[in-house]
Amino acid sequence: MRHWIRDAVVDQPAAEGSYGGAFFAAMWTVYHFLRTCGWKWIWEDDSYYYNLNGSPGGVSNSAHCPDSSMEAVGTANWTPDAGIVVAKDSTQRHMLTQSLKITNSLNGSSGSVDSDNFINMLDTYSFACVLQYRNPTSNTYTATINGVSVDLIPTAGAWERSPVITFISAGTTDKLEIGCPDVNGAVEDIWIDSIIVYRGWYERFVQDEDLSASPDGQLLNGDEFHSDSHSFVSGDIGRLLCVYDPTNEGNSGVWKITGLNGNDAVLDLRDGGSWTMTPATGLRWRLIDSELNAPYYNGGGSILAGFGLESPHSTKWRFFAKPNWVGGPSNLIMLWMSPTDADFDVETGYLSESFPVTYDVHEGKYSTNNFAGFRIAGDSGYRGGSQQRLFVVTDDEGTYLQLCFRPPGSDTILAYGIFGVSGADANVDEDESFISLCVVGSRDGYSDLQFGTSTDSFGYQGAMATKREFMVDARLMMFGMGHNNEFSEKSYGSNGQANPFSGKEWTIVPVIMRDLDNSESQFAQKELTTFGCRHCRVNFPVWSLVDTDLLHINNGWCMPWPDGATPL
Amino acid sequence: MAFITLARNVRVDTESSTHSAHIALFILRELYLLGYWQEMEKSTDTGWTSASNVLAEPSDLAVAASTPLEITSASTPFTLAMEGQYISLFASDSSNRGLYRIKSVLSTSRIVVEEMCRPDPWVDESGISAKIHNASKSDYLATGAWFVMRAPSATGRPMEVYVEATAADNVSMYGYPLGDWFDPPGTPSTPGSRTVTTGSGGLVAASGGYSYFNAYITDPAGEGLLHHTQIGTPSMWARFVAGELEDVALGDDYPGFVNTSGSNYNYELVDSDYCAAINMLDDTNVGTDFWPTWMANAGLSGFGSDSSPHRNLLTTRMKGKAPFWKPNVAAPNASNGGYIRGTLPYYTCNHYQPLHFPIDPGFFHIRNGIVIPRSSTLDKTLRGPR
Repeated sequence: MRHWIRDAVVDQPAAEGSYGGAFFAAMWTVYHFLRTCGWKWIWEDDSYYYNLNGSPGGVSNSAHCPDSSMEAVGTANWTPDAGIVVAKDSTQRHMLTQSLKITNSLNGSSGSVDSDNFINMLDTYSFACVLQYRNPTSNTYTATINGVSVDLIPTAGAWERSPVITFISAGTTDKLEIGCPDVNGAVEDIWIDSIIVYRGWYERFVQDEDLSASPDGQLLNGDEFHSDSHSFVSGDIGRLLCVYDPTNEGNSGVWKITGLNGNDAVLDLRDGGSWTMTPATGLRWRLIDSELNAPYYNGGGSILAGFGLESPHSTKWRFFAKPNWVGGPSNLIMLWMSPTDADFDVETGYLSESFPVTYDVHEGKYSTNNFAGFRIAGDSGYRGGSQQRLFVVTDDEGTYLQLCFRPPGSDTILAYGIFGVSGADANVDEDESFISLCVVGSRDGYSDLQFGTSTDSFGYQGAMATKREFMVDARLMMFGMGHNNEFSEKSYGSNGQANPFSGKEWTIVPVIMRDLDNSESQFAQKELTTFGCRHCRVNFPVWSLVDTDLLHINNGWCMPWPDGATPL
Repeated sequence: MAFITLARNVRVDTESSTHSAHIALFILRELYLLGYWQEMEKSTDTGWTSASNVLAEPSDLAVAASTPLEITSASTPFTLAMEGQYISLFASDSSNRGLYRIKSVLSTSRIVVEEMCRPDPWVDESGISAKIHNASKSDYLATGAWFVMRAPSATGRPMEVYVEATAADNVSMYGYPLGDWFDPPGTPSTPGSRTVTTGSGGLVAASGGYSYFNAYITDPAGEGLLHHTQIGTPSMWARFVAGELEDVALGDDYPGFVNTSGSNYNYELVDSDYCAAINMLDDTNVGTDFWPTWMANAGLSGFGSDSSPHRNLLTTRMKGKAPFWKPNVAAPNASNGGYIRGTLPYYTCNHYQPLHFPIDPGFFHIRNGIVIPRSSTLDKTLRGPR
C-alpha cells in the first residue's frame, strides 16, 4: 500500500527572516514523515564545522568527537583511568574496520575512559550523542557527557545503539566519558564504535504518540485527528501532523492543522473535491513545527544539517540527504544511498565503498558535495523561499521514495527524484533492482523534471545496483518512434492527444536502462513498475489527473496519486 | 497467445529477380489458406491452378507419430516429379498443418518431407486434404496478380488483406481493417469506396537463387495474425505481416494492420532509421502510417547514439535469458495522431542476438531483433544465410 505526503505546505523556519529556507524545511518534513512511517534514524550531521570555520575546503567533517568512527590508528584520542586498557580492535566492529576495545580490570573503585574534548561546539546549545556499543559482560557501563549519563546495559554480545544523550554544550570542554564499574580485579571487555555527536536538528518535534504504548492516533469525522495522549490546543494550529495509517490508503500524510474541535485537530486535506479520511484508530503520528524546529541558516545557523535513514524494507537500503555545503548555502540537497545496510563513516556520512553506493558507479565517482552528485534542487530564490508544497510517495515496506518539492506560484520549477527498489522481474533480481534517479549537476532554478540533452536533465545519469559490490550507470529511457529519432517525437510531441477511440489518456510504464559494464553496448532494461510512475503525453496539463490514480506533474511524467483525491 | 507454425525452413529455389515475386505470391496464398484465412477473391491467372503448377490435390493423406516424416495415401497420388516440390497439408490438427518441402517419393503412396521443415512429430491423423505444387514455377503468375483474404476471426467483421505482385521482385500488401472488400457482404464494392490502409511493399528477390520461407499464425479463434518471413541470400530478409494490434482501447474495433520489410529488406522492427511503418486506418478511417516505438536514450548522448540502447539491449545475464517484448505502436506526431494505440502482436529483442537462434524455450530470434515463437523445443532452428 502506498503512503503519500499529498501537497503539504511547509513554511520556512521563523528564524530565517528574509533568508528563505522552506526548501530545506520541506526535506526536514520528509524526514519526520519517513520516521513516522517506520524508517530508522542512523545518522545526523549539523555541519557546525562549516558554519564556524567558513569554507571547509570541500570536506564535510562536522563530527565533534575526535576519532568518532574509530578508524584512527592508535588510541591517542582516548584516555583510560588506571586499571583500564584501551586498544583498537578489528575483530569486533560495528561499521568499517575497527572499534575501541575497553578492557576493564578495575579493583576497588570505578573508573572511566575519556574522549578528547569535542571540537567545534557552540557554548550553551543543546546537542545529542548516540554511540554503538557491545557489552557482553553482566555489568552495566555508562556513557556520560557534561553530567548527563545513559546506561550501556549488557547486550549478550550484540552491538546495540545507546540511548540518546542530550546535553548542553559547555564549549571547549565537552567530552564523552565511558564509565566502567569496579569488577573487583576480574577482567572484562566492552567495545565502542560509531559515536555521533550532533546538534539534533532533525529528531525535534512537538509531540508524538507515546512510543512505549500502542499508537493512539485516530482519524474521525472525515478530517479530524484525535490522540488520547495529546490534547490539541490553539498553539498547534498551523503545525504539521505526520500520520501513518497502515490500513487505509490515503490516510497517511503530513497534514496542516487548521483548527480545533474540542481537543481534536482539524486537518487541511488539500483537496479540491470531496476527499474525506477513512475513520481509523491505532495510528502512528508525530506533531512537527517547521517554523519552530527546522534547521535554519539566517547567516550563521545550521541549515546545512543532514541526516541518514534506513528503510524498513528487507534490504535495509539507506538514504542520506544533506544540503550542498560547498560554495555557500544554495538550493541544492545532495543525496546518496546504498541498496543495502552499508557501513558508513559517522564523521562524514559517507558510505563505505566496500558496498554498492550511488556515488561510486562503475563509470566513476560522483561527489556528494560539489554540485556533481545526485541532488534535488528547486527554485533558486532564497533556498526555496518562504513556503514549499511537498509531494512524497512511499509504501508500507519502504520499497521506494519519490520526492517532489513544488514552490508556490510555480507549476514547473520542481525538485524531483525517485529512489529505491524497483522490484524483481523476469530478468532482474530484487537485489540488483535498486535505482537512484534524479538530477546530477549544478543547475538550480530549473525544473529537475525536464528531459533533455544536458547532464542535469532528469534521468540522464542515474545509478542502478548490480550483484557486484558497485553500482552502475543507468538512465531513464524515452520511447522513440520508428521513423524519427528526434527528441521531440518522444512522448509524441506537440500533437499528443488522448486515445481517440476511447477518449482516455494513454500512459506508459517508464523503463530504466543500465550499462552493466560501462561499454555502452550491453544494456539491460528494467520497468519501473513498483514506483507507480508513468509517462503520459507531454502536452497534458500539468498538475492534473491523467487518471483517478495518476497525477501528471510536468513534461509527461506522472506520479501515483490517491484514488479519489483531487489536486488543488 | 497460441501460435501455430505454418512453415519452417521451406526452401524455394530458382528465385531470381525475374520471378521471385510471382513465386512468393503463390506461396503467400498457400500460407493464408493454411492459416485459416478465407479467400474473398483473386486475380484471373492460370498460374493459380494450372496442372503444371498444382501437381495433385489428394484428400486421403495420413500421418502418424510413429513415422515422423512420412505422409501416406491409399489413392497413390505421388510421383517422382514431386521430389523437391511442396505440399500444403490442410490437416485438422494444427501440429500437422503447414507447408512442407518433399524430400523424396518412396512410392506412389508414400513420401517423406524434409526434416528441417517438420517442427513437431506428427499427430496421428488421416483423411487430410492437401495440395502438392511447385510454387508456380512452371506457369509463373503474372506481374499484377493478386488475391484478397479475410482473417479467420470468429467474432466481429474480420480484417482483409490485398496482396499483389506489383513487380517481378516486389510484393505489396494493403489492409482492409473494416473488412469491406465486399460491401455489403457478398457484393463487390467499388474499389474507391473500400477503406484501405496505406500500402506496404517489400522486395522478395534473392540474388543467390533461393530463400527459406517461415510463417506462423496466431490462434485462428483470435485475430489470425499471419507472420511470414523469407530469408534469402545474400542479404534478403523479407517480412510480411497482417493482423491486429493488441492491448487497444475499448472502442478501437478495427486495429488491423499490415507491415512489411519495405523496399530495402528493412528487417528491423524498431529502430530510428530502418523500420517500416505499421499501415493502419486512423480513427477517421484514413490510411495512416503508424510506427512501432523503441526505447531511446532520454539524454541523446552518453549511451551511444539515440537508437543504440535499444539495439544493444542485452539481458542482465544474471538469469541467462534475453529480454524481449512487444513494442507499443504510436500514431504519428501529426494533427490526428500523437497517441499510443496498442502493442504489436509480436516481439523485438536486442538486435545483436545470434541469428536464427533460440533465445528462450519458446522463442526464436531471427535477425535484427525480430523474435517469433517456436512450436516447441523440438522445433528446428531456422535456416538462412549466416
